[in-house]
Amino acid sequence: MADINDDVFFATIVELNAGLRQKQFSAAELARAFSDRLERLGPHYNALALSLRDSALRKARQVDDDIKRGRWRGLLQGIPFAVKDLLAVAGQPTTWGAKPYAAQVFDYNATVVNRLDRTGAVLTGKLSMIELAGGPSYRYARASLQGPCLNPWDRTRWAGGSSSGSGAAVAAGLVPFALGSETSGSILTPSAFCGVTGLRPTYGLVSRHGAMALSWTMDKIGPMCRSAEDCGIVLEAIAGKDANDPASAGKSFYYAPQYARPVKDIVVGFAPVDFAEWPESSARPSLQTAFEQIKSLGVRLKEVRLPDLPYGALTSTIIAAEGSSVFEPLIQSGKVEELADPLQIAGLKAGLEIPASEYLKAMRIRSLVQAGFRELFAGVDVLLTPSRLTAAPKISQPLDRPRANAAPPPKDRGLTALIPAGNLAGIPALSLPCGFADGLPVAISLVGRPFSENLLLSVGREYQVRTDWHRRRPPAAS
Amino acid sequence: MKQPSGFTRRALLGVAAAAASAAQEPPPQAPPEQELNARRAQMKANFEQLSKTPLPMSIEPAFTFRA
Repeated sequence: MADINDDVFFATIVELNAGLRQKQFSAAELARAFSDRLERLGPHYNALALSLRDSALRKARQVDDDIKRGRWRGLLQGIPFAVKDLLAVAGQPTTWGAKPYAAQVFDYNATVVNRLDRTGAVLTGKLSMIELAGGPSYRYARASLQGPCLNPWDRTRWAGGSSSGSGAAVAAGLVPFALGSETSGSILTPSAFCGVTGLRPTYGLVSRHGAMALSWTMDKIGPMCRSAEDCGIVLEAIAGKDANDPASAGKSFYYAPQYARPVKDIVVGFAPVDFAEWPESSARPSLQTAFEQIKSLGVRLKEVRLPDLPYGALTSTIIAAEGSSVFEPLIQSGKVEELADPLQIAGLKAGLEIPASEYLKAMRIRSLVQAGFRELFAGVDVLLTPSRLTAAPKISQPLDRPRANAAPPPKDRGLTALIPAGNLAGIPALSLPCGFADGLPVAISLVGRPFSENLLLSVGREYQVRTDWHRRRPPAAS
Repeated sequence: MKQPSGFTRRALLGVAAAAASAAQEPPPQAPPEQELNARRAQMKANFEQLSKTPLPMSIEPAFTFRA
């Protein structure tokens, strides 16, 4: 019987693969241990939507048979993982975190689930999420079928959303990696709040077939892992052309850190105000240290500004218009009232009233956003900014209102609109844990040109070689 | 999107647990009509913000997001 301890639960994909190859444990032992932990601690954080223990153990035994025959399929073979409950798994409930869909079952797998299955990765469960991935907007952390997803670093704090369970489960060592989705911040936010490494891929790089739609022009699926390297490994498995996704870019991704450009050749754009003034005071020291550490890698730095465009109004209009169209049957049936969050209900109803002229105006301004980023990236390779300006809020705090005693915002916006702006442009981003504020994780983000994931991952990997924030474990996760 | 199919016993247990958890949630506090009107007002404010951006006729909607 293998000794599967905390070091295994917090190991990277590469380390777990080495353990399998060295026969420290079998795939079945790994799947059983992670399933036990997911079932035991998942509900403790409201992170577990559904355990898939039985199918995981069957799959893991197949993997062990393959390994016995010398059929090695790659780094993900035998590695447990879980997915946000927005992704279809055949024959199992796929609730989208929302009561009206609590009984929904699809008879097919999401493309990303099939792709990971082909690598030999072992799906152990589905993870909680904010209902309908947040819809047009939401006010409360409790807007989820499982209740508020609790942060493993402090259970009085929120795990972030909408990929809440994915962030909490990776942080608490319940799975080595998870899949989340982002329309505007839903991978980066829980990754930052929970202290895990999260990658939002370029729009169209990863198939969304079998995923709930919220905004056809903005939805992305991506990995949430222990390290930048793990994100690269998972992205390689899930990326690629898919005829079932009309937005598929038809591109593959090969994680190739060996071909990364020398760090000293990379120009990093930043805005000083993002680190000096915008973050909450408790988060500033860690974020400023992270900025210095990125600088010490040898990159060239350049001050930049985002074009002055109404990013918040754009994302709000586009997501509300598209989301309300997606969920028009729910709204018209009256079942929308079964949702948990009053702001989400109102947002979906109001979204149906958005005139075509306003939606098209937003989409035309979005062309200016894309053009603005093309111009910006003519002078820099990567943008650097705090992932979030605060650590995780209290679970009871309304998310649509400023915190009490919040300082007045600086006049210079810096790159603070980079989450909505980057999502509007469909460009990739990587969130890296970079320290703590009052015992809670904070993180920086690297944002790059379309399909520049290898560049972001190489800078992220260099940063993580020199720091150990991504290796820290929450105190309550044992 | 394909139609729902049947349940397994484990699936039913998972759904029941989820429904029980949702039932424990406190009901929404604000009157729904007030929420809806506030949301409409927010949308209108967004449209006003959008209208401040000059848009030459040559700018077409962004429907492709390729490199």
